[in-house]
Amino acid sequence: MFKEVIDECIRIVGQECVLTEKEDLLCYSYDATPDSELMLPDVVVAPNSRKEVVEIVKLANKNNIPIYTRGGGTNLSGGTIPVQKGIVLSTLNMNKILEIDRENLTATVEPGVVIQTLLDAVSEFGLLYPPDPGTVQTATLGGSVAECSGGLRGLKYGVTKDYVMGMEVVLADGNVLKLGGKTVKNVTGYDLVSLFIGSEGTLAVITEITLKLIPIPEYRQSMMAVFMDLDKAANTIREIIANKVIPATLEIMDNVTIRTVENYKKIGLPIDAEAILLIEVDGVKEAALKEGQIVQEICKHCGAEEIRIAANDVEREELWAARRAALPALVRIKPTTILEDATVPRSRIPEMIKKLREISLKYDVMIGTFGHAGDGNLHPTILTDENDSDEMDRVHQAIDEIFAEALKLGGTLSGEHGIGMAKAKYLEWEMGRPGIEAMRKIKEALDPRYILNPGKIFINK
Amino acid sequence: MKEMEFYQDMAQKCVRCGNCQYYCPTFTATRMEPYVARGRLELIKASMDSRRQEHSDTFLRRINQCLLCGNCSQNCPPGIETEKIIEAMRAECARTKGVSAALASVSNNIEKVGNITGDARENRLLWLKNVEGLATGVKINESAEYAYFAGCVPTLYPSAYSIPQAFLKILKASELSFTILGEEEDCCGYPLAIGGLPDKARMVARKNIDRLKSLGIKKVLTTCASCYHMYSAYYPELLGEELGLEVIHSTQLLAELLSAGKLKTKKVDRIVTYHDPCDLGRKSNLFAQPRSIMMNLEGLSLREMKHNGADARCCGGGGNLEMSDPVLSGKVAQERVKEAVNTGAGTIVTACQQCKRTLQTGARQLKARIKVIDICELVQEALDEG
Repeated sequence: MFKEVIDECIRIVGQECVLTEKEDLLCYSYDATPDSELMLPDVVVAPNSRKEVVEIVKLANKNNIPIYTRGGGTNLSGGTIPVQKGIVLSTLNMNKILEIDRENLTATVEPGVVIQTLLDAVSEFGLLYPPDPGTVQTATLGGSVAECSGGLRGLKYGVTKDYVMGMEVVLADGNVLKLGGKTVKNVTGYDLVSLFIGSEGTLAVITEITLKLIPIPEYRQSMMAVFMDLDKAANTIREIIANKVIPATLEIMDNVTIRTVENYKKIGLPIDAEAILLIEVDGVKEAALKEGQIVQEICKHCGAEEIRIAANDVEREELWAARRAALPALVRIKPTTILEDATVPRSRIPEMIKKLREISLKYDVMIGTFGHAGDGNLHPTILTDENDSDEMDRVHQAIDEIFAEALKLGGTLSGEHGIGMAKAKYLEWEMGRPGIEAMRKIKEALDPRYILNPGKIFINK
Repeated sequence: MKEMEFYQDMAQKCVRCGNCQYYCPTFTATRMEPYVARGRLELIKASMDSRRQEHSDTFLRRINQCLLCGNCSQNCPPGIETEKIIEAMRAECARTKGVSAALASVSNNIEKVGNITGDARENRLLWLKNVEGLATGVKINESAEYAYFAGCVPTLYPSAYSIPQAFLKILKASELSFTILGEEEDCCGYPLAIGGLPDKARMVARKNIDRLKSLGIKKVLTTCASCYHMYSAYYPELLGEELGLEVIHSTQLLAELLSAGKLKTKKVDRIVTYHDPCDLGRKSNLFAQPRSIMMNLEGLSLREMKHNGADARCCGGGGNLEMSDPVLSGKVAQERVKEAVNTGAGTIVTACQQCKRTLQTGARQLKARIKVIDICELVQEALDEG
């Protein structure tokens, strides 16, 4: 990269906010995505304001240099890897919560605010921001909006896109758009806010977000239902919804996952169970208790071997700690852990789980499955070794089949993690050629020179 | 202390999840990836794989900017002990390119005069001579049941004198049989061991243990959390033998004396918070003793910080960071002081003079109105001398 460009970056954001040494650039060549290509950027800049972001974007555009916007770098689809080198734009210095509006129930934040920081701040006012991806303690809101994060509360409370009311973005040409706002309803112009949510940094750089908040539910009850038969677990999920109970959380863990977590944490999980469901109902106390009662009866009626109800906050914490331990436990088994999020309609979950088991046997790869059974977003997790090329061949074939199967069941390639680099090659399977062309037209209208996160979503220019 | 070779496989286990970002004090202070375990491990991996990362100046600088606090390790999904890997890499770099000028100077001082500053040995007694009557009846380098190993900072930095002075007053009031080591004390070797010079640390370890044994000492006391951790965790490994003596931190002794009613104390009217030193808490599992002391002081109100006990965030004084990068150390200290201020307490109590110094620096930089004292000073203040 020309020295003049780097000098200009230093002039814009200040010397302390620019990294140019190879050793530092190395630390931005990756993100949390396993089995992915790494690439050193030419420079890392950490702007402190929207004004500085605009100047950096204009500089990049003028010189045809790629920009890779990055928050915590915890995504799982290669979204922040600077594959074509250029500028990594770190949002982490823009980490202020600008406002919490208790009357309008909104929060306005800079993109580098970590989700947990927002949760802590709004909980002081008895408020909640529901989308809670597994990485709440490290992921930033900018990244979370760019990927449209899901989380455990998706079934009842929705996902990130249901909570973004407005945003300010910088386009590739340096123009700033202020979109949406605090009004509950807004149909002015095209719904550009929705366009940018989940656009994975390829259409704009997000510099401010206005989020919707809800009151913290007054009461919650958690329980675990143990099943020796997968179909019974599946029926239970179906029956709960059919009985018009929408739990806040409805998670599943398969036998491989149960055994792995038990081995790691030794908390007394039923290692012979074919599946466990972890369920939480919440709301006004009387309503929550009533729903909890219904759920218990359904579990019993559908043949649950055992139902454990958390009697207090401590037991509730232990129950959810088991679910949160799923991924940390699985990563200990083998050197490489590939977490997929092929999602199917809720009704097809039992078929998908059975198919995953067949795929695991067919390609002789280890797969542990857990996830958001209530909304169909499973996380088949492949445990393997990047350095074993024979096994990786089989793993890649297995992944191909997982996606093919999910689509066949009327599902989608990604419920939460995004396309990025990891799933770009499968995109046409789901969207078809016309779908990809339509997206490309939008991309080229907003970023004709492909400077924003190039190499993601679209396979080639 | 294992070599880098031993940790190669462990370093490869990093799946780059980034969870460490939440727990790392230097990441919190900088918001930059080269300052967190994931980034440091990537550098280390790159030095061992086809990327052929050299032990460049920048490489060494980044490796030296870790606090070695171990908070990341206890929350790492694949269980990587990053602080141990970094310590091993420091030793490797010491072999391939030497150490920083600051550490070389400290090492030189320790070799020549047995302390980190280069002071004449007799300066180690200035804190004792400084207070009228304090030295009366105090054994120096004699046989006794306990030996008080005061350490370099409390004896050679005047601003830290108040800690050994307070502890000595308590020891005299307790009527225990003790000696201090005075001029004959050598640095415990901590900055050498964690800085990549284990062989030099071994030399002072040998000297210190031999000296204690020659005096027939069975119990060594210290007010410094790092000296405690050095003696109890590093010495047996460095020397390849059981020490044959008990290592006791001041908080353990004081907790015992207070609950056995061996010290008369008066009411203390203070609202305090407690900062767990990494070397005493997370690394040595001594959380209950300081809290027991404070519970036994009537009138004292303890308010815990958001991150306390095993989750306590490093004050910025660990890992030789103050030596390598005082600016970064100050930023880390400021974050910890903010947590303390948020409790509403007027005083931070801690149990390590390094933590006390670093937190005082942070408080000063923040212009925060909060005092920092060592727990020995708190207890001495409460002693009923009537």
